[in-house]
Amino acid sequence: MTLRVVKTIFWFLAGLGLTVILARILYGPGSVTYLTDILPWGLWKGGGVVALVALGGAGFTVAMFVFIFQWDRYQPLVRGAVLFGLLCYVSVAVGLTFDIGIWWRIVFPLWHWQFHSVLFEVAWCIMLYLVVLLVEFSHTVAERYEMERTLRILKRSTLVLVIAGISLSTLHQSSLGTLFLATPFRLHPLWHTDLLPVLFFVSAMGIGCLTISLVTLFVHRLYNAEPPMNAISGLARISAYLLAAYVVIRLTEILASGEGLLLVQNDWDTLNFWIEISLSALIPIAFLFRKAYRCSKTAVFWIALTATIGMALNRVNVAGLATTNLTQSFYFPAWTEWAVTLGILAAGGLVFFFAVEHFGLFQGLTKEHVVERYEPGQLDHTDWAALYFGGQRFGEVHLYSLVFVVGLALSLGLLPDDAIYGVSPETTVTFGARTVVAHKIPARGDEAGTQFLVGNGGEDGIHAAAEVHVLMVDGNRDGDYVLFDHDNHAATLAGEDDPDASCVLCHHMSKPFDEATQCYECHSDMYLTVDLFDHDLHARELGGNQGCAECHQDPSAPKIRENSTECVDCHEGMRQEGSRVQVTDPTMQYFAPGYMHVMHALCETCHEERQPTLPVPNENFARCTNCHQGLPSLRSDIWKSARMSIATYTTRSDSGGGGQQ
Amino acid sequence: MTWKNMAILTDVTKCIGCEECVMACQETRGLPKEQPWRWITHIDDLSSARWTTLVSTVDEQGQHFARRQCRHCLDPGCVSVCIVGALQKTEEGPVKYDPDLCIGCRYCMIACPWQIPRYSWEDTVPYVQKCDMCYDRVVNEGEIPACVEACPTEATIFGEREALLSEAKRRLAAEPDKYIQKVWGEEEVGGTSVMYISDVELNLTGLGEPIRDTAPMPHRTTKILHQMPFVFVLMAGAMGGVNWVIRRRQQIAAEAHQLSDESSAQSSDSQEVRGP
Repeated sequence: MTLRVVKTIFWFLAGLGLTVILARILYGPGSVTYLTDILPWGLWKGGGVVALVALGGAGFTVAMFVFIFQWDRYQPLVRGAVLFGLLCYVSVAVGLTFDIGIWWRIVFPLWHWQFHSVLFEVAWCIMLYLVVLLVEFSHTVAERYEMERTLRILKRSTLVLVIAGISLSTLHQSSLGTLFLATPFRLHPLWHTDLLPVLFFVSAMGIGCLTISLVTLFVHRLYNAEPPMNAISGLARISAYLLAAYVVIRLTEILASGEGLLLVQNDWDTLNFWIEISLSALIPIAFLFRKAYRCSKTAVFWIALTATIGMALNRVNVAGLATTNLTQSFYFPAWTEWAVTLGILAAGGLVFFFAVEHFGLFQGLTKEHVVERYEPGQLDHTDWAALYFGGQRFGEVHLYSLVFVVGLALSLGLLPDDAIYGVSPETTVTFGARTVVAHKIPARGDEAGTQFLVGNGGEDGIHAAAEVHVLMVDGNRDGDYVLFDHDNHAATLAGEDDPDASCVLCHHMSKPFDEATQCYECHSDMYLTVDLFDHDLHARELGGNQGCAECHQDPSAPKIRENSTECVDCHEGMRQEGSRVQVTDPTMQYFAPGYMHVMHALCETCHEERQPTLPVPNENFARCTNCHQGLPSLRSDIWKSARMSIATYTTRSDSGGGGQQ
Repeated sequence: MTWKNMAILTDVTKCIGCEECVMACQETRGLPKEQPWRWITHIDDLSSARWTTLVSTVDEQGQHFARRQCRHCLDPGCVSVCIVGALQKTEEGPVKYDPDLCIGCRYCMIACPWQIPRYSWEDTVPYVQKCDMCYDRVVNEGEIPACVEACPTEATIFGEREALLSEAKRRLAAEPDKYIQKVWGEEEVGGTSVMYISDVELNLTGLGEPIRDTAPMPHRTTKILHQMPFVFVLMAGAMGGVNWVIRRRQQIAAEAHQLSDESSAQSSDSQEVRGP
């Protein structure tokens, strides 16, 4: 892969990310992320902050080796490591700014001090360490521009700066682990342990050694330079020890706290754990303890890449991914979240390349390596593409500008609607509904109901009837479509003062995943769970939609209990002489009695009959409270709000306004 | 009237599930209309438009309702983790939220053991949303929280925590067969200002397991946080000390080298360390 391809990709990603960041400023984090109330920390926090701080641990680790331990072997890497650390922390700062809800308040921790907050400590340590890294890096800049006096001051302060940087890093690297001690009931026990601070610190040092090796190898390869393998293999060896210590602490803790069985479960968390620990530590350790692999450029590159991905996964897990099981939530970052995180990283990478080319970060990567790349060579003047995007400096500028703008534009084009128009509620759709045209014949005379005829019936008067649109809806999600006069429902149910008030009755706003109220929730007389009559069973037995007419013989009448065939018409032997279920009310002879009628008629009568014969007199025996227990009293107002699960249904006798109680 | 350490006690056996408290809360606090947002994962969950909600379970005795709301812990995790102090436990009892300070880091949302704080994700400038026990109403107007006022069966009552606790214990003792002998919120995470008594086991965490731990949430982080100044000094001291020892040994080695071979004396000085 050539440098030009890498830079092209980075410029493209930076363009993608920039648009999303601008869009996020417009309508807030909710418009471009898939975060939820239950999982409010996602990729931006887990990847862009927690993981990136760990990878940036390279800065203080290598500085410690070189300036404290005086291990001159790692001298060639120290400048790269400091700049790499600096860029990681700047990326963290930028990422965090746009992750938090109110981005311009990112500076609030500067003057609202909270000494009991771990996050406050982390924020301050990161801010201070950012300053330390800036000063450390200014050494390189001062040297480049030959600022002798500044250089002298910087050289004298080197040791103090490095010690401050190490101490600050110790604090915030470990405190990032402490952050998640506050989430003991969310985080999976394989990740949650009181040793998180220690694990975070040790693994940050271990992974820091490998990421700076990875970056150094990658950059040297792109510029065709010879990487300082002596230093890299040394770092690889140290990181193997550190990662081994990390694995030992982690596994020992899990076993010691009696959670060992979780390691052999057959579920996602255990799989996640083993993938993570294999990538981040086990595989790197296995290879890096062998000298042959440590000294091979290719091997170290791939091992370091594996470990970096694995350790980033570890941080993402702790920050959110490993909480999805206990919180029963689901989260996968939106592409916009990826675009921002990768875009910020890519921008950081471009700055790194700039520094490599202009500040002499690596001793083995000299001006010759850089200049060599810009050799114009022989240009074919007939090929406009080669001329415009060709090997010269301006050729690259043209190319990168183009992909950057393409990135911006593509991102703008792909942005979700929420990011452009503001966050909108999920649309509620009527499931599988389709509109059909029907002829509406209004009710005539004393006949109840309105008749709908679909298609050309050929009957007289149909052509005179109004053509209306009705919906075919599967109102009960049972596979049976029925004709549904939406307009009529809306008009009938609406209040006088607010015609839209009826919408929410069916398109229930607090039912986001149940798009509309199902038919039976209002027409409860056919689906009442305690009804003796099982409408579903009858529909099934009679062949679904084919069988409706068996009972609902009059198509013009509303399909309710009162207008339907009586039970006794089919079930001839149903009402037996002498049965205790004697429906005395003549208006109820028409249809099957409901559960409440049966109970009220049967139980009450029997209880009243038996009461005088009770061995121990019980005045409540024949009262409502005997069955309706759990109610504070039978005062009528309480009774209404009690919403007994035995719901009433309208009967003919009720239509006059009397309540059924 | 001066309030101190006020609390709410909910008697699950008395709740009939009418949701009057939810509606009273929404009306009194002027919460926005409930809408099917993307992040609402199940019906009638707590949200930025619903600060209290009913959860229910069904067993052989029938349906039991309990009201979820901010527990106003005595030593709250959310307050301890807040980076700018936007959340404060007040003397009067409620845990109050100051939208003028909040930066939106959402740490309180993951640090709450009860999964209470919600976020108004739909807004360009979003804020954390949670019950504050009608702080302004209670403290400035001397009224009781809207949800308590609305309850038709007195299933949820308001008062000083000690008084409510003894009332709860009185009810437990009066009907030992009816109630489970436990006050939810008396001891969990160091005690909460919103407590429950019930005839069924309650789990109001929003997670699979109820909380039994009695250690206050802040202890989990502060015990380590308070070590940090020492860690800082220790690390700085150790680094300085190690560096001094190493340099001293290098110096001695160089001097020894110088003594053995005086002609190469200058070469050690020329070894200049390259800056960062």
